[in-house]
Amino acid sequence: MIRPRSAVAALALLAGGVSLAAAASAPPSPDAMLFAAIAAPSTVSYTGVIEVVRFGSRAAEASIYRIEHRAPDLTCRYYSAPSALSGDSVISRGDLSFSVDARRHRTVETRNTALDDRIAINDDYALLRANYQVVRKGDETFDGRSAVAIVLINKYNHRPAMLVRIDRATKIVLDKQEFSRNGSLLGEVRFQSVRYTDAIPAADFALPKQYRLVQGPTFGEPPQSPDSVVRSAGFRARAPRALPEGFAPVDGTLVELNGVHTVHLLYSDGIRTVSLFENASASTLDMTGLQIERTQVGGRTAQYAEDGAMALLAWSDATLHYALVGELRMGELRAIAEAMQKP
Amino acid sequence: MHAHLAECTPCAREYEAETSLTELLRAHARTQERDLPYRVIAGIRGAAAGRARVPAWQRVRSALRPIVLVPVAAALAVALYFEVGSRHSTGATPVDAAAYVNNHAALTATTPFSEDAPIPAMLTSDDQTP
Repeated sequence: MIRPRSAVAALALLAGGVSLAAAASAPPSPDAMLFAAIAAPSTVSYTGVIEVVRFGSRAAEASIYRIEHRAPDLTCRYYSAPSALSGDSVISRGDLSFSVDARRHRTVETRNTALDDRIAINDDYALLRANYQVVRKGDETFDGRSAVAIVLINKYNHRPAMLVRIDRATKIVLDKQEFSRNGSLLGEVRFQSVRYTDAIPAADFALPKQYRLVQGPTFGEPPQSPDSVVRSAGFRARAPRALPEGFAPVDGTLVELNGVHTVHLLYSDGIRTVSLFENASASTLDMTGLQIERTQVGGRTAQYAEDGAMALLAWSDATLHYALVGELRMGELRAIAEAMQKP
Repeated sequence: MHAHLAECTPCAREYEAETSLTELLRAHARTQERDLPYRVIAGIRGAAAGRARVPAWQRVRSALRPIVLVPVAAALAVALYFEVGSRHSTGATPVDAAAYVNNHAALTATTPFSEDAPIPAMLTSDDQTP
């Protein structure tokens, strides 16, 4: 699901202004459509069925769920596939999520404070516009709705990175496709049977009372600038001296992972993201269940693995343990890792 | 006693008679002696062997004798020392790779058009890995 989030409410006001201004004249520009699409879920309520698929280099993940979204920030997803998730649901209320696990008879509550990080949201959009050319591909009919197809082209390799089909009237993204550098499909989120309605009962977002509520983790707290996270790490954390073209540090946080004090830095080019984790504690990485591939970083042995579409590269030097996580391929992750080792 | 028997004829006769009777009984006994049946012998030998087997508790007790126990305890202490030492030196706090993936996914929520994973981690993991 493309996240409807409360934090984009501020953007929605601006987007509304852009849309109205555009509507008064000719068809809205691709830029205006794109901006309005990011903010639309905070003002538009809808129901429908969503199909999601993500491709890794070896495996793919897919799911189908029914979605009910009541603006600005109530969303419920009822899973019908895969069968392991059948009967499960995820209910989101702002930055709170409740994962209703029917098989284990429990509801896991998690919080993601990053969703409220307006600075990061604005920075990310600025990055997207800086690194990608927004091109109108044409008008289409999708799922019975009049839609505008927009392509985001990477300014460095001049290849399409994303195609979005935006409902012309509501600005909701009906279809999103991501592509790798060689043009292959990385993933797709596709709407079916979309219906716009404000008549979604509050009961649809209620938690099931028969399941026990389990307190899960809080993510992204407190969100800080990457520089301040590095400075306050408590150890000599390092940042890569080179990043893939267009990437920049956008967010950071200090987290405790099984008691291990860890720096988490996020880099993005506006669409693609990669996280760098560092710790100075004596720790080992548990990659149970993953197919591990050995490689080299700075002359040291490193471990590479993929979890669905997500790739992970982990290595250590004399003082720190590192892990890079993102939807980048091994070559790109290794290039970042090598840049960490240079003095 | 033998000096008296040499000088006393009645006593010497009495003694001779007693001795003859004893020898008669021995001779009779020798003529009546029979070998034990084979199964009786086997049974006796089996019983004798069973009585010779050392019970388990006795073997444990013998293993705990200082002459055995002290060297074994010393070897164990040395092994434990190096085992604990090696654990301290390598560091063993495990960090689940899923924790990295989950934290990455959470922080990317601010990226335009970002989406949740097709398979939500909290519905598939057995714990609530942060």
